Amino acid sequence: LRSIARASLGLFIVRSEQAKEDYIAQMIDLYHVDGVVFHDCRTCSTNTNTRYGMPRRLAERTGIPSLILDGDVNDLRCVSDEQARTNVEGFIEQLADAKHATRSVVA
Amino acid sequence: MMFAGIDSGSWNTKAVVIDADARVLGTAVTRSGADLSAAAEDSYRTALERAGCVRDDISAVWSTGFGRQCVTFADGSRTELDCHGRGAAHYVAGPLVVIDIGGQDAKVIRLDASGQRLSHRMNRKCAAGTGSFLDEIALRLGIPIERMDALSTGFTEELELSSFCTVFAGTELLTLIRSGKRPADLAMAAYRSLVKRIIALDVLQGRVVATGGVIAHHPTMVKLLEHELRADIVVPPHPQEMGAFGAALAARDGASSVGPLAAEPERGQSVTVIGGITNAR
Repeated sequence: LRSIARASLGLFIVRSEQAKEDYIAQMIDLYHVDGVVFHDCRTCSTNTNTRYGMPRRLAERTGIPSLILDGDVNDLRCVSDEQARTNVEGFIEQLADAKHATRSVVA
Repeated sequence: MMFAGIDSGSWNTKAVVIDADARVLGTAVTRSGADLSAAAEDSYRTALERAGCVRDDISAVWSTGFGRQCVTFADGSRTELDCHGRGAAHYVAGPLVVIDIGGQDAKVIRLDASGQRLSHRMNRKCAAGTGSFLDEIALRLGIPIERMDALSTGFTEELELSSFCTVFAGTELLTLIRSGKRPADLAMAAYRSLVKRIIALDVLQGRVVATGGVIAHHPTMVKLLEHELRADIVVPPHPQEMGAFGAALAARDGASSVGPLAAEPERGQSVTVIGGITNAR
């Protein structure tokens, strides 16, 4: 019972906003992450971490940029392939430009 | 040396020809229609004519917009997120927030002092908060979209559309029309509704620049945005052609071309087998 409780309460999606933020910040650091992609899941707020300013707080805290993709876990009406493609492509451009700028400064 | 940019948008295809100093020599706006390649050709040809030059004079032409991969003659492409930011940053010193309102999407792009993109936010799949919302309203009011801005300036009563959903706002409008409300007041209410949707996209602080076809043809939108944000909004030259101008700048500056992303399997191709029953979606 104790382990079920621990497993249930330790799940990422049931943790507080602060715990989630700390966890992502830790992962950014551990894996030297260049950018974070958030999924705004239309019909599941528990699976969505973008609605209370977390992307902004994380960007301020870590300096790592993020992208929010709008979508859903099951309702395709909330998904737009073309917009997702432009969003991802735009984010890659942004990350590539930032890397290029850093390299130029270092060089 | 001359460069060109083509912005293949959902509604219009824009083309811009610039010289090496980024001076605009010729522009064109044509309807995109169902054949994006043809529209790009058409728009490009007109912009070249207006610039007084021919294709061979152009060192590089880059494409942008949702149909950027359909511009077959382009030497490279960048997303409209990049191009609108790039174009705006050419005219206005950063840090900046760029609001672009197009026919089918709206976006907020944040740039740092050197014009580097910090973040962007686009509207959802839904067309609320875009030019097509205004098209629908104009249709309901029975006026050409070109007349909507002038009409709205004669408003006398502050009406509110409770929804920014294009479909719901359309039906709400019918109720208001039936109750005898004036078209000028209804047009203004539509603009107010659109502004509400735009300012909800992201935090809009600092120097704000507005671009896109809606901004170019509906000056009332700028006034309402300024009122809501309690700040001046900068409208750069040729706001509707800003994406194409940004693409021309990318061509001139030799930016790296990212797209197209690796093709994904079509939805229809995925076949799953569940308990012996082939379930082809």
